[in-house]
Amino acid sequence: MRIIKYELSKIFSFPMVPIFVILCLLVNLGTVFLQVLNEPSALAYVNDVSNFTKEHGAYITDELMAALEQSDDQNLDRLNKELSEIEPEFLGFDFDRMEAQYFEEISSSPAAINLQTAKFSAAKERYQSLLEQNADKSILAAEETGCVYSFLFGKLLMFLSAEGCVVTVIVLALVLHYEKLSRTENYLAATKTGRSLIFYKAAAGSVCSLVLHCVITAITLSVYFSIWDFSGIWDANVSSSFNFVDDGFLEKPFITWKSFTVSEYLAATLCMTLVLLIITALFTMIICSLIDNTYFALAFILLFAVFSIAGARILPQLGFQVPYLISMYNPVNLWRGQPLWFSEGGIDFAGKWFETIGAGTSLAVLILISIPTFRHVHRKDIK
Amino acid sequence: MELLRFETKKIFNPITIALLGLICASFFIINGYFSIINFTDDRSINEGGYLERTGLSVEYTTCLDWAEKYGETIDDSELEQIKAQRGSLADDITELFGNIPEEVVNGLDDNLKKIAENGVIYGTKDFDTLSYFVSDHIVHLDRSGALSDEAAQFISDYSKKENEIKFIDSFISKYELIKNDYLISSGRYSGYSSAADKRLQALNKSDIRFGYLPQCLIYTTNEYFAGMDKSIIVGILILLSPLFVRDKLHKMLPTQLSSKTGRNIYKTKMTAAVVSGALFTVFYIALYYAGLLSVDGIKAFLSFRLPSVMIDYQPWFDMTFGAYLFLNALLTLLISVTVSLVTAWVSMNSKNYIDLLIKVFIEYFVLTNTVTLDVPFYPENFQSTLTGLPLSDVIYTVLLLGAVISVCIVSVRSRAKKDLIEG
Repeated sequence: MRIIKYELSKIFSFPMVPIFVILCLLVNLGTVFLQVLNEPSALAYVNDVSNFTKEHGAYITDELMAALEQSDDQNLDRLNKELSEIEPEFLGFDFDRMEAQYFEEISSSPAAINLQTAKFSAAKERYQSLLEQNADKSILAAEETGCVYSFLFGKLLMFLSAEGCVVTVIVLALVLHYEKLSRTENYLAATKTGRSLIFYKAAAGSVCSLVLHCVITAITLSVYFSIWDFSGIWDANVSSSFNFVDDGFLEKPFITWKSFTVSEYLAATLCMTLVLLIITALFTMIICSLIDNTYFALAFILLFAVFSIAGARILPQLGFQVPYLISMYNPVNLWRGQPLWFSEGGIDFAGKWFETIGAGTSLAVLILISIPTFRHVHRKDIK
Repeated sequence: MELLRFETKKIFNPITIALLGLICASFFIINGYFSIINFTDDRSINEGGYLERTGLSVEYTTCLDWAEKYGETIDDSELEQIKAQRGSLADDITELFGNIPEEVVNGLDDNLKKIAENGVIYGTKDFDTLSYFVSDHIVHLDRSGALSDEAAQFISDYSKKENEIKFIDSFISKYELIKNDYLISSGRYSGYSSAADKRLQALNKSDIRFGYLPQCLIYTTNEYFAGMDKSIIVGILILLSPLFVRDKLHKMLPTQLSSKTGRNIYKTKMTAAVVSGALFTVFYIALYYAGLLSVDGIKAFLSFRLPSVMIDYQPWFDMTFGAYLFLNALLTLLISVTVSLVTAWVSMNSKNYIDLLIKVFIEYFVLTNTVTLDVPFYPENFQSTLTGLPLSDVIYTVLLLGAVISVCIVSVRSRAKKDLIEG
């Protein structure tokens, strides 16, 4: 415990670490305030809708519609109009058309079509089940759902997880290479703890980066939710008729493999982000243990990230549809698909629960690699 | 001079070059390659019965044909010829539907069959109906997966001609709008500054406004340049960030300062940073430009003026597309010198690689959000929108470079006077 405390004090002896965290917070809060400045009418509308649904429930019911009829508020009139208009479209989604459009893109690979066919038929069943649960009748933020939901899950939470990963890389590279940079490696290897110090360093670095991520997330989300009133939205189902996904091919419902309310979906996303951070921490530990030069270790991590994205972009163009689908299970690409987590994932992800399977596999592989890596650290010569 | 050569050699060490090559190749795939293939959005039926991208977009190829016939602008008499071209395409479609394959007709749903029986589809020039008819049929074919050669040929021919007609229709309507003073009367330009308004009024009096540089070409080029700038910034950060830190960590500074060159080492390193950054940028720009200029027929557009009937953006000056490419390259070079100096300065003020990494992240974020070129030489870019003045982006880039040079000179001088014991 004492050693971990010392390692933590080493991390915070670098003024740039807290400065970086503060800058991350400034960027996040700047983004939040910019959205408020750009969408003042959406803010007023969402807060009014949330206030109303808090009292009358987050789903369209006869009582709710009757209450809406009696209201004389401008925003609630708008809500009334939107709820009346959307009803005929509830059951209108054409799965066959969706399949046809997707299959047109992956027509060169029958194997990829087979993989996706199985998933889409499961998604179709899942959609029916969501309809039976009245998920489509969930109001969420009505017509402003795109503005609120896509900003929160498609931008802000993606910022938070990216910043968390960068902070993890910085903190772990710092703590693991600290002795090399200070030329104290020789002395520490000769102490009682010796080379086992790496475990303390890994523990201190991981805990510190997770705590810093939690601090950034807590402050950012507290400010966000103090501006946007979600009290009436938390219980809404994320597969609402208003929550359509536009993936560049078509607009489609947000079909999740489990019925999620907004609060459950937020909690699940935050948990998955923590798993991504653990993956990043393990990956950084392995790279920094194997590559002694800090510059090359960091450059390798950057190279891995850009290779993952570039690979995912070029593989479908070369006609490698199945390798492309496999490459999307890479943690970097899982991050890119964050707004689609726990949903059917469209053409880019094959199979159910792609994020859980992808993250679980990466975690298992990295744990397996880390065992011989740490053994190697115990045996290698100190230069 | 010898020292400058050594410093430049240190910057371009083989491992860094290999790393840089891989990272820049990945960035090209992410940012550049897909901009170029945006030209290729024309589709036809492949062997499996699906639509696939096969060639250059209809807008691009049609404009290329016109470039040979009509020159750089279109006048009223040429517009009549374009209308005649549209009529001939419509006749071709009528003829095509006279020989519609049975397989295609069978794919129609009952409602469309009724329309077909009443003779609306056969021989019609109502392209919305036809478009719906073909698209609907393709959806059915996608699931069957098999298609006869005759049917595939029919749908390919129809799609191509339909796209051409749609483009010509859109061109004619935009031409009419521009002719009817769209540039000075439409709400599209309502938020413009007075300088931009004057520019539009001048343009509205000139025949240059009837140019027809394809929209996909200019949009794609701008996207391509934005990607190129970001890649260059990342490349320079990787290349130059270890410049001072590496020597510091190897405890080389006291040795360097006690040599004949002495305190001039800071100046030499800064110069080496600028030279290396500029060399890398020139090489990178050459690669990107080679990629862009390898697109079929693009050279025919180099002499075209930027104002175009097809594009909503209007530049500050009537430069040609070729001049636009050249000026963009120059502006990118200026930016790269700025980034090189900032990176060298950050490296000079960093204790080790971790300290450097954090600062480099901040530098990247600030530079890509303030310096990267977004529609340069147009009133739409960030700097011009903010000030409303012509070429604000260029002025901003030059001023920023001046400020960065001043900061670097002051820093190098103060370092040169600093006691060695202070570090």
